[in-house]
Amino acid sequence: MASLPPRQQSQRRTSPEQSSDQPQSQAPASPERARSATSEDSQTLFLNSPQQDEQPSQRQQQTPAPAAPIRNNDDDPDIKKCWICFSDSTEDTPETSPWRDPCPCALVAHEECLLDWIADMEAPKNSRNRSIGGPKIECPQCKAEIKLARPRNYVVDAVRGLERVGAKAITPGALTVLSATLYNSSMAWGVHSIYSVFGSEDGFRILRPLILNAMRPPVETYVGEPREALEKVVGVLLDHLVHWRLYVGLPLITPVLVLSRTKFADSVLPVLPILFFATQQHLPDDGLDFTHWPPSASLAFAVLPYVRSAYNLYYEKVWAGKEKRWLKDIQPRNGQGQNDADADGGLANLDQVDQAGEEDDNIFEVRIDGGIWDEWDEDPGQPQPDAQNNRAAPPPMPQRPQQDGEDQAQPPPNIIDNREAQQQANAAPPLQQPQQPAQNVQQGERRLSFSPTAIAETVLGAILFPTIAGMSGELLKLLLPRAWTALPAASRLGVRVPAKGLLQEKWGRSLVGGCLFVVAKDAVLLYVRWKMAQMHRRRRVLDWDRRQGRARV
Amino acid sequence: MAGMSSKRLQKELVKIQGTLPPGIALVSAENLREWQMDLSIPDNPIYPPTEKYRLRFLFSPSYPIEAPEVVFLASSNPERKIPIHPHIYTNGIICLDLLDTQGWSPVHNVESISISIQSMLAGNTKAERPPGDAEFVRSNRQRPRDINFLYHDPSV
Repeated sequence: MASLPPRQQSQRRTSPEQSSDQPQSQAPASPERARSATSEDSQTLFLNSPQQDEQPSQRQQQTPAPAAPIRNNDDDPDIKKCWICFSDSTEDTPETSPWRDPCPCALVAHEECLLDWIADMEAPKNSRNRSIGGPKIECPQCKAEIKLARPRNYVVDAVRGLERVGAKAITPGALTVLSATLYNSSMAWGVHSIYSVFGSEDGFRILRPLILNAMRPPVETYVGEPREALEKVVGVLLDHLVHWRLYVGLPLITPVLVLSRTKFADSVLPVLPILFFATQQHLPDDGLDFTHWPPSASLAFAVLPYVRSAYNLYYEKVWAGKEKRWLKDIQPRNGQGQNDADADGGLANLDQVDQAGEEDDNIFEVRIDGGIWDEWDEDPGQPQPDAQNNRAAPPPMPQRPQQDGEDQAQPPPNIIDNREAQQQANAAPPLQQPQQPAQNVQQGERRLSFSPTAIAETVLGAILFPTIAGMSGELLKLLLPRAWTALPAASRLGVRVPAKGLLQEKWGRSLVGGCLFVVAKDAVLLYVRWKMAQMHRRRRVLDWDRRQGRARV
Repeated sequence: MAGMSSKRLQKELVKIQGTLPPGIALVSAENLREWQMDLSIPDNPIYPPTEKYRLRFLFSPSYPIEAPEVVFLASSNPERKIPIHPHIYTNGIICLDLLDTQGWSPVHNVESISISIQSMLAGNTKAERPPGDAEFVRSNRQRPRDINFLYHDPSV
């Protein structure tokens, strides 16, 4: 900008051209000005508009005059300087916008400049919520709020107010919807579990309050007879409270089922029945009766955690070592398979999932074989969620080996790695370290592996278990002699006679069926592993028969 | 809007051509879009007084409502390097709240920005680059004004 004249005087006098270049006024002047400003020519061209040619040249003759008398308008307290555009009040034209002094400090500015600045401050950088008013506009020097007078329009205000409220309500709203979805779906699963375990009649008895409450009066009632509607609504609410166990417990069935497949459950589950027993005081008579057989449903389910623990213990003591050995036999001798991600063989899954439970004493955490049940009482007064583990991963079994694109013909090698890596935690050969699949959990706490497939399997298995148990119960009914499984004949006459054996109740069959299923599954798996270990040793590689063009059989 | 920016820049230029604080010098201001200044830091062993650092100011038409883009420039002739500072990246981008949309206001000007940067350097005791400097320099494609800096270190 060498073309700028050093003296303010000439600037001042030619200020009419300057102010004519203000944004809102004639556009043609600006390009001209810019052009002249960037020219490298002598100072005479700086403020040039064509008609003013002679004036600047006259001015320039004065520039050699002595150094600036009033060098700076800054020093003159009466001259206002706009802190945004830096122009003085001496440069005002009739078109300059009025000066404003909006805050206690000494800063003043043109109204136009202020409005521009405020508009920029208020426009949020993300163009989504432009309509929301920004934070208060503060003077940069004294931080006092700069107030604006806007014309009032009530509609605008109302709508903006609503938008603000709406914006705040988004997060809570989203959370509510999400949790309501989860709740309802858990509830649905819970209902399904009840039906599959207890059968249709008993199931209905348990769930009846739920079903009744689901019926709602038509909308017209609300409008036409408000008092009745109110009573109905209040009635429904009260009913919810009375049957709180249903509303709280049913949705819990599914998550507890899933959690019960984790190691976490081992410490919690045995405690729950104690809770159950402790809260029995208001229960009808036969609740705690140990002497009758069959036990009441609640008792039966209450005992399940113990059954589960007992089975786990047995399994560990008797089979765990062998199983480990068999699995190890299938591994390549130096220990490494490719297993990275999911060891998802049906076989693999079970054990790999067990991995998590590694503790220092190298015990295999074998998962359960109890039934997975939630404990519901026959009379709706006592249900308590009490879920147990299920190691079953039924459907996945056949499809696993191909998962993750792994080239594993043998799923077990995957697990073996996991196992070994964990069991020899201290002495793990470095080889095995990189093989530690992602799903091996970090702390020995949670059994669930972190690979999504394995998690999905676990969850699916848990959710399906009630159904499976129910079906096993039905299977039992088919297989066993009628005398064991049918209710006494009198019940056909419509009189309900209490059952004489556990298997005569549908839920009893489901319970036993579920347990048997787990036991059977474990047995089959053990057999398969043993067999695979055996067959492993007898593998041979076939020669290629060059005469016949195929592998020599 | 362009009129406002030019007008104001001209006024600033006049003032800058007058007096500037020590250590700050105007290098070029040939147009109203890009200016260059040289900074030198007195009295800080990390920045020897013989070394000068080149700042480039880029103004938009809505200056001063919008902050100018200020970066350090490195060149070999004349010799100019990027100063070492925990808030200055090797590509010259400066992480300073003043230069961001949130912290900028039209009450600042080129001179005050230069003074702020100079004092930021003068008061620095750590001769290190920002964490993640290499990664940032390699992968950054945004203009400084689009980058969301996190201003978390008031001690430097």
